[in-house]
Amino acid sequence: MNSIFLLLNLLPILFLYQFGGDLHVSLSLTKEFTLSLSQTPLGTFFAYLSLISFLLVTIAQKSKKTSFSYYALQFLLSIAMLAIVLAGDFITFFIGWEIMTWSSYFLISKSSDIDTKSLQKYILFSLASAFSLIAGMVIAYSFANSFDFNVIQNSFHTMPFNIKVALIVLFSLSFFTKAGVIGLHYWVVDTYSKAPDLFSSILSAVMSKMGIYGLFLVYGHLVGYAELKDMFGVILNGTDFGYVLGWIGVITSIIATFKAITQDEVKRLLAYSSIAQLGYIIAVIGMGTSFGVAGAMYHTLIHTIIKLLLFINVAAIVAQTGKNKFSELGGLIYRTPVSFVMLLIGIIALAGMPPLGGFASKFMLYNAAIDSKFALILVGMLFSGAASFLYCYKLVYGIYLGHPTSKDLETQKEVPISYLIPQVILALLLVATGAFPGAFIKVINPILIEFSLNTIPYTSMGVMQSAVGNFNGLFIISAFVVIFVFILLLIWRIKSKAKNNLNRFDISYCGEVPSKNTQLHYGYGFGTDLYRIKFVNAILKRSSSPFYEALATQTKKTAGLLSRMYYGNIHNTMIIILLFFSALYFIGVN
Amino acid sequence: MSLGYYFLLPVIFSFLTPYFRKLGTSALRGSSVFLTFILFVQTLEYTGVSLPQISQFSVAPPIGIAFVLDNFSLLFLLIFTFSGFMVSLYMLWYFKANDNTNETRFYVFFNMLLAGSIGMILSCDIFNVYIFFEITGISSYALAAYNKDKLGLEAGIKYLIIGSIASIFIVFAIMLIYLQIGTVNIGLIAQRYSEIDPKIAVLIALMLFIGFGTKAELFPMNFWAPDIYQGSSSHVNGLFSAIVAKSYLFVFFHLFYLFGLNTKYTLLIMSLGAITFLVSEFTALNQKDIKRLFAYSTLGQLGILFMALASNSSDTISGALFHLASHSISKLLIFLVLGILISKFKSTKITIVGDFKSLFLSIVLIIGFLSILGIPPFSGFIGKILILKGFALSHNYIAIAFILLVSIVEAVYFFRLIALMLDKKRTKTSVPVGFVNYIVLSVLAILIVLFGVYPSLLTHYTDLATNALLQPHSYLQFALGVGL
Amino acid sequence: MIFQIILLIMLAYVVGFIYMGLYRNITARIQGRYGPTVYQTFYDSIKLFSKKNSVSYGWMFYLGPVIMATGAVLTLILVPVFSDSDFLRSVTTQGNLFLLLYLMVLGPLGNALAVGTGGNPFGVMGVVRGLTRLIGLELPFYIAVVGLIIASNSSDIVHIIDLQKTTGLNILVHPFLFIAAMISMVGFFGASPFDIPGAPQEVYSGPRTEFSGKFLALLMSQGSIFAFAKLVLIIDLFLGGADSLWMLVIKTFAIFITIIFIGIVYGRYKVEQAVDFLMKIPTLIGVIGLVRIIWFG
Repeated sequence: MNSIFLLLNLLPILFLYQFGGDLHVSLSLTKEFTLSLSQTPLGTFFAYLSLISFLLVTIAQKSKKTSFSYYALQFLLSIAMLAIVLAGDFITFFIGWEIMTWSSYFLISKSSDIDTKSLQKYILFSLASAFSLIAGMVIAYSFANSFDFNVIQNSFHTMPFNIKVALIVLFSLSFFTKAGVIGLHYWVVDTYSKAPDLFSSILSAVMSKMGIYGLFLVYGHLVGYAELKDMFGVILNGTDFGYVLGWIGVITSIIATFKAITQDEVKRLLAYSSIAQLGYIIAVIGMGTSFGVAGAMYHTLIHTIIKLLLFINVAAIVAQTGKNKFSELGGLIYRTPVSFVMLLIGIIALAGMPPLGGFASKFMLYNAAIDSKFALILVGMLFSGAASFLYCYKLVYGIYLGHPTSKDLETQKEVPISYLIPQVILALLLVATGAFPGAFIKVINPILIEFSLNTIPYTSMGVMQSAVGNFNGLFIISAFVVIFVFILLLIWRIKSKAKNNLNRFDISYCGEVPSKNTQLHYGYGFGTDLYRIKFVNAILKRSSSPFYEALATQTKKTAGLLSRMYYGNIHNTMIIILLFFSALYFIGVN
Repeated sequence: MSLGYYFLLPVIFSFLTPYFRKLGTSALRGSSVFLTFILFVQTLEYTGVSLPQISQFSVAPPIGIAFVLDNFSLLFLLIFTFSGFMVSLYMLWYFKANDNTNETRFYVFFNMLLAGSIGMILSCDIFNVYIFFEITGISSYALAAYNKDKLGLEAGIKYLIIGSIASIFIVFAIMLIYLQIGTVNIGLIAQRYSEIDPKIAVLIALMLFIGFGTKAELFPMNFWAPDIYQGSSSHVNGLFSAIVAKSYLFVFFHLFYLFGLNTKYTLLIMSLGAITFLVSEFTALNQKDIKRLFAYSTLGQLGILFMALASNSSDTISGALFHLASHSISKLLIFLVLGILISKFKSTKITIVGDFKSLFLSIVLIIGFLSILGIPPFSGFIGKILILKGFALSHNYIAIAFILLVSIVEAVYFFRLIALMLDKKRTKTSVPVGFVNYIVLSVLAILIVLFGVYPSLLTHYTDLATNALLQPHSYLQFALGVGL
Repeated sequence: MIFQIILLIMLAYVVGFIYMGLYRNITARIQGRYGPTVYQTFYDSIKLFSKKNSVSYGWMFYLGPVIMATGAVLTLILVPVFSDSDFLRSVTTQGNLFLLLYLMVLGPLGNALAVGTGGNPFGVMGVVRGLTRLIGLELPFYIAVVGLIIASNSSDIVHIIDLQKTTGLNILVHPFLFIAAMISMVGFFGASPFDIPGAPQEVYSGPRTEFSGKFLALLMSQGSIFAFAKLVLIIDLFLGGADSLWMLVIKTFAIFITIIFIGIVYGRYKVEQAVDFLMKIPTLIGVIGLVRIIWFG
């Protein structure tokens, strides 16, 4: 079954490759509706991104018992996403969007620890996002008389100002919900953490990117960055619009970062981290400069790779050990060394550390902010980056380092090879993007042309050009390796034979010997310090759930109130009808 | 075949039912399937014919019946005959699997119901409309109560009382019209409606509005409806939802546009439709009884239809007609599946949707749910987006916002049901579906998907129907030509 | 080229150790103790390198200090120690300030992995405190760096040095940024009041708890190289860099002594107090400087 679907997942990639970037098909549904696929550089980028992700996840599924319907739904999901990114009009886009919504809903429902509440959260937010989208698209239709992207793009500047604003707000809200901007992220964490383990990787790495694709589509293509600048004016060197989005993104990423640090469940941490990373993308996506677009695009790529890697890694560990909390894991480094190295590469990139790809994308993001002179936004991004080191370390420490928290962890074996293959591929990609950050400029430039922005100068594969300084990824990574090997050899040659000691209790412990019951793993208490910092505590103790809970309660109350009307007996109904008639009559006659 | 047979055949079959019963149960059931099949096929034939068409029966002039079929009524005729055919097929299984002591009674009134509702949409004489209205009414009361259990009888009685009130209003309206103009021919009335004294005209309009509005379940005249749905059998609910309510809706809007009331009352009806939608969807959130739940859902969808059909714009109306057809099919599907579940579990709690184990039923039920929610690639989506697009073209953004916001509330309970179905922690019992039901439910589900992915199959007819509704010249011509 | 780099490392090594020794010595004198000699730290490290036995907890434990040392050396290479050296300039342009900001954290994070592998809760506690402190510590420093980048419109350090020749030293042009950066630097040097990760007399010795022998020696050596690199970074950014060895020593020493004198008069903060403080006063000072540059520059 796995191999069949593996081949099936290859098909769309081949199909896309076959058309070579110039796919334009349309099919008329009714006299108003046309389904059309129209390939753009932007769409192609996202199409390959999602299709390859699906392929990798399917490889990982090999060793997990997976039902036919799961595979089929997952394949349907990949096709729906393909439809979204290749869509040439809103109808196709929306159909893809909704098929994505419900097929992912059924996939999530296949998890063993899903509950009704989380499912409801997921679907209601998804539908709210879809309805916001539908409102935007019919309003756009009422002015452009077409759902076609190009027609809407051409007639956008003729629309009244308030309609333009309404459209931008509606589309933004829709895609923000998918990307999980703070305030609209209520569904994200529960969904990511309770979905089937491997499916979480799709949710975080690919599905959230559909929101980003939507934002690009609207800001870059339908509205156009030049139009955004005209509409909202200029602040510093960037646009007002980009400034507002910048703050939204930065606040999202700061709040989510701190929330991530205090999570005890591995997947919840990753979910918050996903929100935080998408916050970076949103922070620069509205700036309307070449670097803004390039930064957002590069980070999209890197985040997809990282989150696939991390979620697959965690899924493997959860499948292997049956545990998903930091307080229950630990000490797996020498039991599952390959997994450890893969996760390590993932978090190095996630933290944005050189010499891997994570730094290159962060560098682009920072450049975008510098380019627009959004200094405080840049500081906010850097700040949230610094805080993210904590959760990165928690991730690796909680699972692999420290001491095993229970006996069965000490006898674990390495995870199945099918989990490792995609991880190794992804890790190599991270190294490659780190060493050749400039190569990506070639991918971005056609998209920049599509958005009528200036292209970024390309010098060589290894060099990332920017307005305020370059960096040579190839040099950094080779210098790092050379120095590393040099020092390693040096210390290896020093004749002090290190005594290998893996005994759990043989550590310096203030002169005492820890007993069997001494808790030596720091996984649980990790991050509790943060509650004592006033600023962080203010963030951590707030949550969007009271608001949504209250909304649900109020809705229920209203429902209760309204449903009382329907338990009146038949006499009352008759009286109401007669009264209604007389009331209308008096109004009508006078 | 003359149009008259649409009325005559069901009536004849209805009267012959006891004789069929004597020939055996299969003859009885077969006759109903045969009848509905004939009607449906005949209707399909009319789709290729140039419309309107007329046929008259004069008993002794001026007493007689005249039927006019135009594109607007053709759409409804298609829905009614198709739904009737599906239900009669379903009944093959139902009476085999369940207690069939009341079988004869059911078929008598089922055929009568078809006769009445079809007569109502074909008749071009307002007094005949009233007669068919009563025939439909009486057969619905009887169908609501045909099981003779406590809830059913209560529903029947309530329905009877409310129906009588509605009839009184309608009879008064017809009397006033006749006194003012001296005719009951709809064409003539439409032509001369403006000559009526404005104060009387208001009264007539209001009485017609209350009469048909009550039956078409418009807020605030719909407090009785959930009780009826709760008391009746599920397949009867399917009939109510797909045929009966729609036939009243037809008359309501047919007269609304023919009499030129759309200039004055659009806002009133649109806002009442909106309130209906809002109140029903909110009320549905709290329901514990599955039949009641879907009663509210039906009310809500009727609310959208009222909003859209009263909107005066051809785009919106065309969308509304699409939505109407799609809703009929989806609700029929849902009620038939519920019927299977209810007859298995002997319970009407909403938890029964979480207790059964049948992949087929789950899939068709979910298709029905998603279609009603307006989620692609199912037919409800096309209906909804056409309506929204129509509202957008007339720049009625409040209506768009309203429909979309309330739809989220609607999604809450639909997805609660789906979550129940998907909940693996519940113990599931397998449910026998029955061979014929596989066919019926698959046909319905396939249609939902088909209209969703290939909507021009249906939009062709809805566009024609919209034209016929908004530009009734040819209809009037034919109606006026009735030589009675 | 290799020769130059090794020379550079040697220089940083020696100067760094002397500063470390001075740090201990001066601290002792201020506290009224006699204190160790200036070379004591240097002797210690040589001794530790030649120790026969040291405990290891597997290969990750081995690699941690190596990663940390790599980070320190790479930082040193990418900071132009002599602003006029063509060779250093050409190497430096391969990176930029953002890269340095991250490289400075890479080493400690790499070592944190080894600490985690060691499995001593005190070590991990130290690491976590250090990372928590980092949240606050980086903030003013980031503000200062971002301010300089925007003011000189380049993230290239050489460019920033060159620019100071025409506009005047950044310490005078952007005093607010300098103050913010200096307060952070106190923390980066592990001086009180921000010496929380190691926290002597409190959590054993923090991240270094489990290290002994050559590992500890390597950590000490990289510490001094790293300290030197950080000092050079500060003088490059704010004092116009150094073109001769004497200027280098004078300028770094001036910065160094300032840091000691700031640090020595305060007791140790708790981690939350440190972050709270850093998020208030230095951040505010930094933001003032930043706003000055963006809106009034």
